[in-house]
Amino acid sequence: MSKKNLKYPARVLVTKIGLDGHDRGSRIVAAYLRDAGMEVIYTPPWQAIDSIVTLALQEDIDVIGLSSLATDHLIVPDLMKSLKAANLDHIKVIIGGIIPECEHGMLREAGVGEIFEPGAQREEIVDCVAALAAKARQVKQEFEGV
Amino acid sequence: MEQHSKDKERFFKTLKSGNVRTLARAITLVENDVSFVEPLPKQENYSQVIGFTGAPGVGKSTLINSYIDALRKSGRTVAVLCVDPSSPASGGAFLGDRLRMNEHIADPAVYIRSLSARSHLGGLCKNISQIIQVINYTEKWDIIILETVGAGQSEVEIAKIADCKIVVVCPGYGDEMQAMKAGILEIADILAVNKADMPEASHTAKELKSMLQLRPAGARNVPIILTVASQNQGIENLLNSIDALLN
Repeated sequence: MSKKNLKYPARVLVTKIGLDGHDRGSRIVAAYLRDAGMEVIYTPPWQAIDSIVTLALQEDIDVIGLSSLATDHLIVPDLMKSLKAANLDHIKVIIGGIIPECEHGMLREAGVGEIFEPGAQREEIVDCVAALAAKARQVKQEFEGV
Repeated sequence: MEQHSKDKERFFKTLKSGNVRTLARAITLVENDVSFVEPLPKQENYSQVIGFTGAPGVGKSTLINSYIDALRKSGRTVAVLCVDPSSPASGGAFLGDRLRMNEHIADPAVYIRSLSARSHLGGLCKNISQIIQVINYTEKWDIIILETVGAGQSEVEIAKIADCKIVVVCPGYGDEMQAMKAGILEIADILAVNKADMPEASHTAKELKSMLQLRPAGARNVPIILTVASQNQGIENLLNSIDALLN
């Protein structure tokens, strides 16, 4: 698969916040992204929001992919706030998993870039992450001038 | 163009101030394009570089995690660079070393960064020297720990870069014939036998010792240290041996 028009590999954090431990989905997506030429920093489930923010800071992450299968996405707005507070709101956040439609609006409003539901295809996810990573880099470049 | 060099100047100033976001970004930029560090002054190395290498699964990351603990107790700041292999097929990578060091995430005096080898052979990544130069430039990190990809017998690049090289082996890694082979064991300043709670540990240490005895007279002393990284055993010994070599 191509590098999706990125000059350098995207840096993507694939993780789960909250108390749910079902990580098959996040592992599969991590493998998709790796196989699309991206650099994936993967963590086990049960991450605290503060840890995710620090990790994203230290690793110069472009996109955070969250898996939510048991209402963990309800704390995503808190993550978005923490990212903003840490001056990291250039990082794009996407969610995949079981996300009831009635909660999409709330997540979009909080700044979530994309929501993937069951049945999402590999290509869709990879293309979306690549496009968002390119955007994140552009913001960083404009902000820092280098 | 002039604007660009001004921006760069400002960026390096922020980097020097110790801003972690800028450090993270600088490492990405250097990783992608080595010419980025050209404006940086060549200076005395501020940080001491400690390299950990060894075969996949011997416990390098876990040992580093315990070693970070010991360094923090002695009051030193630590930057860790973990290199993981990239996929030969796609060029992508799955970077998972830092999972074993997660307990340090809330400590601002520990910086951990995962790097992909990006198909570079030798155990590290292509621009590792320049990445170290960037960290040195900040003058904020007393120790830089380098973790190589799971290395075999010829990934000896770390020998040129680290001030102190620890080769990690674990019990049952092979017989005396393996220990006789040239390569990675030869570059060690310290040999750590990790997972030393396994029954063959003392046997492995003995084999390594007999390998060392075959070297010419006057060869430097290479301590063999037994560690159980997951239980914090032998770490103080490791710390002291490394410090003795650095000073």
